[in-house]
Amino acid sequence: MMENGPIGCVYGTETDPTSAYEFNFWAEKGAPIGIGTIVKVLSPDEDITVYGTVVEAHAYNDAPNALSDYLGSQRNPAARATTKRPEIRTFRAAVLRREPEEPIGAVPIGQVYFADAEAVQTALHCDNMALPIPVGVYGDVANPCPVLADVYHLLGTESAHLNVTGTSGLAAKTSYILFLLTSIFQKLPQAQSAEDASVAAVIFNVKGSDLLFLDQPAERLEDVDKQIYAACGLEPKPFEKVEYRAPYLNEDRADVASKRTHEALSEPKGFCFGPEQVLQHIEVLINKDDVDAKADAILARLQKELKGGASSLGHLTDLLEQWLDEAEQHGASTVHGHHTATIRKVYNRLVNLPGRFGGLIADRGAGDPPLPEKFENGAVYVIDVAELDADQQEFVFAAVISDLRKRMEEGADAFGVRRLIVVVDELNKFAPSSGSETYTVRALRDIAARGRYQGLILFGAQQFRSRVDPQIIGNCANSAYGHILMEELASPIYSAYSKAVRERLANCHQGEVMFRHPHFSQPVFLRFPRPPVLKGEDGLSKFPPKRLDLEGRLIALCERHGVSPKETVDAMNQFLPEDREARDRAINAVITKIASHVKKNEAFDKSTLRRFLREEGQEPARDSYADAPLPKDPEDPFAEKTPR
Amino acid sequence: MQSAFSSLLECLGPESRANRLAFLEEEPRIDQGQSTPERDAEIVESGRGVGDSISCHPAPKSSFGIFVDGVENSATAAWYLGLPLRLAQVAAAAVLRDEDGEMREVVAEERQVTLLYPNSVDADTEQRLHAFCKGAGIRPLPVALRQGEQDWGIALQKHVQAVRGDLECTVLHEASPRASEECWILADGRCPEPKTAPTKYVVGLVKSHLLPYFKDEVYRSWVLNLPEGHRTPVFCATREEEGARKTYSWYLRLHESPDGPPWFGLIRLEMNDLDMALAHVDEITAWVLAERAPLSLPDSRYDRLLYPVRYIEQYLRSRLRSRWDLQALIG
Repeated sequence: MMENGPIGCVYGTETDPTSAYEFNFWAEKGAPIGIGTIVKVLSPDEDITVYGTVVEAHAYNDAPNALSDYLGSQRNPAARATTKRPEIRTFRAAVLRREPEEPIGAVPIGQVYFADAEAVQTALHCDNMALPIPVGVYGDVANPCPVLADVYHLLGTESAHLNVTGTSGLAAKTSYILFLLTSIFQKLPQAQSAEDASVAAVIFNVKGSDLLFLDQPAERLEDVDKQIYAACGLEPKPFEKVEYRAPYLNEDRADVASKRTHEALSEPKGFCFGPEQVLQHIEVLINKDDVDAKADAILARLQKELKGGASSLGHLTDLLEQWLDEAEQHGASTVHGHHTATIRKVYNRLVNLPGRFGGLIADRGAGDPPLPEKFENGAVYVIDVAELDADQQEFVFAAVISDLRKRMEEGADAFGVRRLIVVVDELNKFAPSSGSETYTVRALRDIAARGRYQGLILFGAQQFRSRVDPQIIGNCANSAYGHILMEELASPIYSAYSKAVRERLANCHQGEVMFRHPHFSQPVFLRFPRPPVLKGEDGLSKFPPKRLDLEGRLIALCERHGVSPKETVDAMNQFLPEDREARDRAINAVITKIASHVKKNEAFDKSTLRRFLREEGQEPARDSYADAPLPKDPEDPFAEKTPR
Repeated sequence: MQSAFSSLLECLGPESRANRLAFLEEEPRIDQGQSTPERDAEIVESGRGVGDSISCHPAPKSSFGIFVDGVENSATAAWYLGLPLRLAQVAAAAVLRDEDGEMREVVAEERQVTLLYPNSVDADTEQRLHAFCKGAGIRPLPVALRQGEQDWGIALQKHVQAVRGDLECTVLHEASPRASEECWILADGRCPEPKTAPTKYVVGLVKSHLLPYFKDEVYRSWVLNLPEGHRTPVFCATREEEGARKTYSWYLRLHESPDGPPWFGLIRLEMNDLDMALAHVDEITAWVLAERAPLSLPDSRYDRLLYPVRYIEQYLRSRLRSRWDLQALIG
């Protein structure tokens, strides 16, 4: 990368002098310098070295204005001038580092060189890092130079959190985060203490399928990607420990709502939430306008009932129904201190929840939590909520974040690992800048503000950084910017960057980000490779989702309640009719019976199953008139040949 | 070498007065005095006569490869007993234009800071001046009034132009070995004498027309009415005011302007060798016409100043010492 000779020269005029943090230089026309190029200035007279990154570029010749150029070309754009006007390339660079660091004076007039690998490391203070983590590469394709970030400034405790902005679908956010996680998981074990090296990640999959195959290797990696991995000292391999969690599809908890259901893959573990979590996050589940102060009092009372022994939503709605009956009986407008209109409002909302939220809400019991009690070192936990609608996703998110925050308060040992990274996409949806201050927003703010001390690190991503809560953004010490739409770049939050930098962001290619880190005086443009995991579309093609059919659902349901698949299959074959339609009808009825049986807390075992199958599997009694088959008369040409 | 005197004033003594250096953006050329010749110059191109206007077209490619020009910058530095002392900065360069049309290589360059003084100063003062200049790295140059001259200020200024001319000759001499049939030299101003430029591949380009070579009515009706792209036949250009040196010349109109002055775009090309001039007049004219692109805007002389010559001026001016630097030099 290093040119032996200078590529340009710093200039400082009276009207355009250099300063302590910026300098201008000119370079030869053919010099491969662009926005983001890192250069080194050597002063011939003083022992000063300055490193800078180019933030603006201009080119002009000695034509004083467009008219002169037009006339000078004899008004002919194809005219070839006998003498070429000298064309100058000027660049403005922002200082990354200077040696010596004090005093901080103006950049001296000196010669400009390309920064080689060593100079890049020096410029970005990579030589000062206790535990460096590769975050990408700088430089040309043939000679990528790894750029390192300090783990104590990426994952705490000095500073922490990362925010990624990028246009959806242009390989910006998710791809970069996956690469970073790969880097972190492979490099962190090199930490001095084993305790310091432990890390896990929780990722929300809110849309698509790119996060569903993190344990599978990528179908193909280009040579340029492999080169980048090699330059960073990383192995391009999938994550070794990945656990998937997905919400149950139905109340029967037989199946999960996820596209990762192929038998060759590890099955996602199902989860759902019990009544306590429902009440805790009721503001997410029902229209926020409904949850006013008056309803708060009733909800508080219901939570008390839960603590007092109520075990299901149904129990709570029964209680409210009872109150309403009491009020009606006495002709009163209030009961137990609450107005009947408010009670009815809350009742109506609660009674609809199981129907609206399907398998996500357990009518009774504590539910199956989405997070493990302790996180395993080196494990990635993917909470797949892509199959849920927006309200359901928000509920899951609120519950999970709430749980994480609670654990964060409990102290360092609460997670089981030294650092837990939580990856949240669509941050502008969960923590909008112009929304009401919900519990989720407060929890995220808290995590962003204090999480670095407790080992809870937020990796947030969004398409529109300007629409995310500023307190969360402000506490993210690290930022990455991929391709950003022009309309977003027009927002004042990007005004700190030069016009040329913003234009480069608007034209960022796949695999390119601008990275900001506390060690870097200026953000730096980096390249990163494709993640080493199977892409979503490749995964779905290779491992198409298999939705359980009715028989499968029954088998799964029975297995859940202690009846083995073999016993279930044997019983089905013994009692169910062959006819597909009748068989399905029977199975559906059995599933419903089992659900109702379980709901009533009645014991369910193999014999109960056999009884249900026998009952539903019998041929239905025929009505003597309507259902009796017609007598067959061989002589009758109009007699039906097949029975009705 | 350190001078014994810390400043020019100290050197000149109590009879001197300082003058803050005030350089003009562009030195006005001193009018040499316009005089109409008694007879028309001799046309040497066979088959052509006075009044002929020959149409030419630009060549697709110019064979001029080296361009020579100089710049000067001077101001009165001090007064001694009412006599002006003039500090001049003069530079000249020969620059090679490459195949791609880029003015890349400086083949030869000379720069000089000169202190011109009237030769009527006393010997003692002159000695002190020389000592001061030696220490400051300045070349001292005594100037004599020419016949008819009375104003020392104008005389010194004219001499600055002569110094510049000398420097241009020096660089031209250094660049001459690089000249060839494919790489001609174009010098701004008169074509230098053969002993200065020992190559036949050199052409001088004169932009000013203070000394016409034809009688007044002929000059006005013919030369000043040349259409764009037209030239006069080659004539023998000899003027007593120029030391009666014989050169071979022709006028050429580069640009026309219906509402401009009559000499708009009018230049005179000059060569030392008659045979070379006659053999290459059309070719050279075509090359010069090709050099019209790009125009030398924003220079006010763009109608006559070829771009490569302007480039050299820009280059030389960027390398001149600043006014403050020169002020510090003389104290």
